[in-house]
Amino acid sequence: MKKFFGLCFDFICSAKLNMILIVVICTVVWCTLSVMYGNYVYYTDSYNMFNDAGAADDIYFTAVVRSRAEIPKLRERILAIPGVTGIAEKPYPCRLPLSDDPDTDYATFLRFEEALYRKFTPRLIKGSGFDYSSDSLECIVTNKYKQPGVPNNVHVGDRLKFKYTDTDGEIAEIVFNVVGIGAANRFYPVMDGGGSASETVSVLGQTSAILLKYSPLTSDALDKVFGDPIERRGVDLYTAFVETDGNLSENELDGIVEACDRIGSAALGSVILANTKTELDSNMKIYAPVFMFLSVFLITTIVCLITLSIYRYAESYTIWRILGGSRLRVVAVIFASYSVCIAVSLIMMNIILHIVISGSIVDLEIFSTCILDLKTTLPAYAAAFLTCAMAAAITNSMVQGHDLRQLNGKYKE
Amino acid sequence: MPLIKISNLNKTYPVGKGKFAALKHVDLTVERGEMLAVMGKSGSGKTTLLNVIGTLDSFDSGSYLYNGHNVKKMTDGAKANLRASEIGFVHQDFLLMNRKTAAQNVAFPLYFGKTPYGRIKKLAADALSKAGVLEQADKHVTDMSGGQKQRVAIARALVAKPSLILADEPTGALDRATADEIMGVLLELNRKNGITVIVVTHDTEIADMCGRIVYIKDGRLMEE
Repeated sequence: MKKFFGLCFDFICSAKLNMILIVVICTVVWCTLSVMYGNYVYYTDSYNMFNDAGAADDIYFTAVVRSRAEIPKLRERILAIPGVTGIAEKPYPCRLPLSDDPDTDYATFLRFEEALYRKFTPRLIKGSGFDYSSDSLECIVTNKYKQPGVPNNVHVGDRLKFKYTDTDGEIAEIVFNVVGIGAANRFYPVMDGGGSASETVSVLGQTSAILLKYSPLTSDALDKVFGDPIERRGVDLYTAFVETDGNLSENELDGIVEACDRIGSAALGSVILANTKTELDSNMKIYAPVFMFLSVFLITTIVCLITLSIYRYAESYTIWRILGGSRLRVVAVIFASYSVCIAVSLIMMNIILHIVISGSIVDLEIFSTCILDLKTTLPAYAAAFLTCAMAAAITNSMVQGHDLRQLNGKYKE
Repeated sequence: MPLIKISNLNKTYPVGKGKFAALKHVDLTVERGEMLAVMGKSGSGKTTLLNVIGTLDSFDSGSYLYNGHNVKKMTDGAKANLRASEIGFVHQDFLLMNRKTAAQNVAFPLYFGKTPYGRIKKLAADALSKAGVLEQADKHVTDMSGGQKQRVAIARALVAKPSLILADEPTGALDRATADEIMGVLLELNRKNGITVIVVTHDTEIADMCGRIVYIKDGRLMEE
């Protein structure tokens, strides 16, 4: 293998300019294609989740509230609208320390009520999720445990414990059972989008927060240490999915939307889905030709550069042939050398997307949804390295092959 | 068994719509340890014959047995392995890689053979020593004289311990004194190491140093 890589190294050194060009061009093209693919996945993932939850006939409702006391009144008014069957309210955030250390950062939690949890059940990679029939304190850890204080390698069945000083000045302790591990880089119904929320990506979003099962016990305990977020901020956005009777006509649904609009701001789920589709289609109209152009450009560039390098270094290849290189062996070395360059460009792409772009852009979600997902980048890595490995293995077997004394009479006359 | 046995070999090249017969009914037998000169004018087919013997060129008809093995039946890979393990080439234009040092040039063929990676340096140094240019090992070939370059080319031909060295006008680019030196090295390799050497030349003085001379004219081979 060392000899094979020696030959590759020799080839790369002899065609430095070509190799640099390949790395630069591939890196730029990979980055552009990845960003476009990321945007596509970002929209389609949220669209599918929204649609699969059966939210097309729901109404996404938002209203500004100035105290918690306003919420039951809002709820009553919405439920009084004919055709409305229920409300799934947004998960309320709270922040708590998961360590005794007073300097520790606080972890963020989202409290899920049963209605919303049933509608948008998170995709878990392990565990069974919340059991709302029991009073146990349960949590689901998401997004590779990015919250401060969450230990590494959390498993289903582990217990997350935190101590706090409650409003009476006493030290209290709450222990949550981990009942699930959420899939990384997935959408959750964070429902931060206001009345102008016109696309699924404004309603669903990524979160690294720990999901909590809502129960009065949990709520009391958390309110004691965290307080009422609405009172603290003075204002909050109340958001909810207003559920309707599935047999309503379009006009009846429009009537409910109008009624909700009089209370706050409302948008029909099917409209949100249609807006998302329009936005995606409009993006694809720009991306498709660019994608085609870049794909053709990349293939043409690679073919041209390899052809040019073969012409440019024709004398070297003649020498290689004279010294014992078969055509296939020479081709394998060229192929493997360019594969190394392509692999390098993939690494560069990941460095650029992970460190440079994700560190500076505001809209990180577009990238973090899929591009920074190892699952997405792994096939690219695997393909590049598999190409190298195959070329290396084939060539190596030939380099280690027979000499005349080992031909075993195959060509003996 | 002769090292090389060629019988009724024919080789043509396409020229326009027709064909040019470069080798016609060639019969040649070369024994192990022989030093043979192939003489002829430019375009007579000397280099074509050398390329066929060196398995770099194929042929149309006839047979070519190398050490009893039928070259006609060999795949490109098998021919490459034959070159890597059995045949060393020395060329008028040296065919060295200019961006490499002498040692790197000499070591290069071993990357195609079965020599373990760890032994490559040592074998390259041994070959440079045999060719009398060990002290030039770390010099780039662009900084060398013609004679030194040809010695490096001979060292490279030797490094895989071949049974046959094919030298195509090895002294063509050298002055008389240097040419004699180079022929001295090839003669020594033939006599001391028993390596079969075939030298293509149009220089009668060079040919006279060899044990046997064959002539080629219009693609036909004639014994002295």
